[in-house]
Amino acid sequence: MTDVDDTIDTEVLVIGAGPGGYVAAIRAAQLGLDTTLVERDAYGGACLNRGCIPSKALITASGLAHEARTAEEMGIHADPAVDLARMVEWKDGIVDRLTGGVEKLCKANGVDLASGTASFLDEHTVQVARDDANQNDGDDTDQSDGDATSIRFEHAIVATGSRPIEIPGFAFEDDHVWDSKAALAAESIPDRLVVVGGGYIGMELATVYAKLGTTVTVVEMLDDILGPYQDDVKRIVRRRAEDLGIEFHFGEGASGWSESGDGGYLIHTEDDDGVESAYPADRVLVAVGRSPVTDGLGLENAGIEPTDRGFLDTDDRTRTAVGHIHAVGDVAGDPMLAHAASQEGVVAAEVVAGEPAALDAQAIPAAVFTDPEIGTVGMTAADADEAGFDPVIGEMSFDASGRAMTTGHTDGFVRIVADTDTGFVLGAQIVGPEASELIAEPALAIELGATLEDVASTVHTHPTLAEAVMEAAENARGQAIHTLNR
Amino acid sequence: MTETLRFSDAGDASEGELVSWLVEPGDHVAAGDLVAEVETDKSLVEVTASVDGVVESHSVEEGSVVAVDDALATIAPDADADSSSEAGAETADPVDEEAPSAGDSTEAAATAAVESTDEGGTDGVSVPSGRVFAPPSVRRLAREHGVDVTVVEGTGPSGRITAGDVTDYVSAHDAGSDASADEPSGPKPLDVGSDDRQSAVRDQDASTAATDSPGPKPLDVGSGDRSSAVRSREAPSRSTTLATPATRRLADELGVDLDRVPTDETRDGEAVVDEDRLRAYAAEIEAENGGTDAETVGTDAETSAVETASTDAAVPPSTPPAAATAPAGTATTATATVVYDTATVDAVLAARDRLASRAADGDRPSLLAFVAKAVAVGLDRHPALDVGGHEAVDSSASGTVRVGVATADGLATTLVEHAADRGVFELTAATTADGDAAGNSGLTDPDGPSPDDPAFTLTAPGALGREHVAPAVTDSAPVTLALGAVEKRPTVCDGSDGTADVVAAPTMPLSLAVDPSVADGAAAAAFLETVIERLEEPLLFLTHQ
Repeated sequence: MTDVDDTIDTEVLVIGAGPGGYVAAIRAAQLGLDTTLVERDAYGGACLNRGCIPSKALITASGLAHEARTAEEMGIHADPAVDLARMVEWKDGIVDRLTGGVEKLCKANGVDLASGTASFLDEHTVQVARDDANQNDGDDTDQSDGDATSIRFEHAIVATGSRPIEIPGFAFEDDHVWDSKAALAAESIPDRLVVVGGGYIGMELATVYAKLGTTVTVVEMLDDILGPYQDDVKRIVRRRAEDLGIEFHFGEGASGWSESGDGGYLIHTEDDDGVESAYPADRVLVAVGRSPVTDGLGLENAGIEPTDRGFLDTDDRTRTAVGHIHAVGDVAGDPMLAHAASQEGVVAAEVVAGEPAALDAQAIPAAVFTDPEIGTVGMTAADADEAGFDPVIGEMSFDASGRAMTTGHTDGFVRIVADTDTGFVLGAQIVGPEASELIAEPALAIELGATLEDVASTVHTHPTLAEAVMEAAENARGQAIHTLNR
Repeated sequence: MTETLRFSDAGDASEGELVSWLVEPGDHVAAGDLVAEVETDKSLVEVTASVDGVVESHSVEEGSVVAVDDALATIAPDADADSSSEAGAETADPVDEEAPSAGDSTEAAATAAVESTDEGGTDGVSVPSGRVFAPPSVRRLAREHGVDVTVVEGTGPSGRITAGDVTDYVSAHDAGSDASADEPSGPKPLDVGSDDRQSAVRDQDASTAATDSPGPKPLDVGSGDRSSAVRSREAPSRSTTLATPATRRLADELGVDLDRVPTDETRDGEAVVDEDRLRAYAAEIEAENGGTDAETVGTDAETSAVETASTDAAVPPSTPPAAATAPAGTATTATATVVYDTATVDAVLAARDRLASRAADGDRPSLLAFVAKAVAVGLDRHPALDVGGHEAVDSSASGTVRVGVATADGLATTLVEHAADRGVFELTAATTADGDAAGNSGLTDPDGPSPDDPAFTLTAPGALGREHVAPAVTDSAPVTLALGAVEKRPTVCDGSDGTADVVAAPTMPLSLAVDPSVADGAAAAAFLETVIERLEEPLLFLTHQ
């Protein structure tokens, strides 16, 4: 990271170099704006360093080991040995390549880079404090104690992201208490793991460790995993997780831990009726959600007040209450997704540049990288009904898909939701192999205002999993070939 | 009146657990105050009070799972509180347009208001809530023009909004009457322009931007204009054209080569053709081909009706649709009731043949003349459709029929008064292309109705549409009867022994469009029945029934 002089002026100041911030900075620079990007940790933010990328790397690697171990049906007999340290090293290599790539892209586009923690002094000035404790980029050459530079800006884009929520009784600083970052940087495979929180982060990591041979127990306060998803989608994922040996306890909240005397720990939980349970574990992963990072930002000096949960309210142009200060990504609230952050970053930069951009995406897809994967976009049939449409649904089960059979993974289905009168595609829910990839097509259909006929009339390659999307669309029209039409 | 506080926005989730109440019954709250927290899978969602008032009761306990729209609490609003029916809680919603609810200084909000106007001219257009069926590029185009995309009428499949729709909307709201300033005033008997035809055929309630033109535009058939129209039709032949699958299928059905459809819409350098351009082009092709056929057809008895029609020149030989002269989006369609029917015309054709020997010049009377006579009877029986009569002070204009004819100078119309009193030979002479049919030919009283006054309009664009076409209604042509091509078509013939056979008989489709303020569908259908009866049995003319 380059040095910044004492006081600099810039047109656009971007605070935070995660998927929201670095994308905003690059876009702003592309539009000809003088842009400065401030980051106190590593480029790429949580997504690149301790979230999306590392988790997918471990999901793939652990999945590969598991596939090889369970492929007898295909005539493959193997029991791979897993070297977790090496796996993590491989993952780190990917992360390094990507963060280096982000830095290069920023520089190539003419973005000025600054390192340190930014805080607002007033509406048009921040102070960037270079604090040794915050620098973990391994570069010792340009650090100096207590340096502070100030940056005057015309516009600012706050992209400070979020961090894992810490719950009482489980301090992340304890070695055996993991947050997602620690879970992705483990040195050895724990024998027993308790996962507190059955949301997407908890479930993805539970699956990784179950496939690596850990005995996994998931403790969840609600009555099922993956809250926002539909029952028939969740059920498939939960059953498969149970097949992997994962144990679920619903309606219980983690209350604390104690040492169990054998070098391990007991994780204590309590349900609604006050009934207590304890589960033995070597590690406990707390994944109950993420909260926005706004502490130390000095927002009050800029005239911005976060909501009581710490989020920054914004309008459809990403502006906060102070018109020239934007907020994008997790700090701006839902949807807390990396691709939403990037889209918001683009819009923020374009709005600053005076273009008629706005957050008007018709649908933002979401994916859960469990086994099987989940990919959803747009409305469920119930959502559509509530919104005043007359929904029609079409489904295609993967156990009728030739390609799915050849992958050995036939659990799941594609469901497409459309408006009966017009045929407009309103939503899709996919659970099954490659759902995270397959959901892109329905997302495109929704965004373009395509109809079921458009999707069904588009020739899909055979044999692929993507054909199931086409069949689901045909099923909605009552004319699927490869599945019975109700 | 008690306000029910509902869980209105859970972000990505549809439900969550109400983990804590932050207010109790009896507490006073201000709008925007945080009152509860709901935990969803994604995050903690705030519930804020929607009004100033006193909390009356909790509707759910802590720990309950609440779904979107569930009632959470009741609040007794303060006396002069704004009790909007929204009853929705303001949550931490990043796309909320209003200034953040909780605790913002008014100074900051004022600053925001001032600041936001600096952000570019298109600031004022807010993002529509709810689904918008338009691709991102089109939504952006709308914003660039400062247009709310949801008010643009979509002519794409299922009403999807295309870029063309947005630009049409923009020019319609900018252009005013510029488009028709140069055109001769006169009624437009049939509207076959791309957008009009689409909207007329598909959606009778289409209401597009109206122009201030003095009257509907005539179809431009003049030779010079036609050749230029044809030239513009010889547009690009490309090797690649982008179109949606549905549009391609339609192109196949219409027998149109997409690469020949003129368009200026592009995507990444490739031409894009949407459905309305395709239809416009198809109609133009049809018109040119149809006109050619009419002129070259032989004297074969089967096609005599068609040939006669063109010889009579009562049918415009070739009429490029109005789109050739009218910029799309400036034509007028009002809500119209359209009734379709078909007349079996072998009897009237035979009657026509028999009269040929009686004609002064040996020519048969035109089919159009017979129809005009039948129409006159119909107007007498169903005076509501006799719109010429409405305007006349002394009913001198009653029974007036405006007949659209083709002349060397283009399509013109003849006002025929008291058609019931005129014979078919007289009517034939007046409604052919010879002579000064355009305007006065002795059939109108100079002191009577002017060409622009409302009158029943009769046209015969049989060359254009093989079957039915839907005429547009305009101020001066609130009732229009359009005659389709006479052809042999399968018809049921009741035999004398009670059996029914399907035979090939010459039939003529009729399309009657009526402004609903003039008459309703039932009256229109009854009128059409009167006309058809007389065409199928000409002897009825003798009965004055």
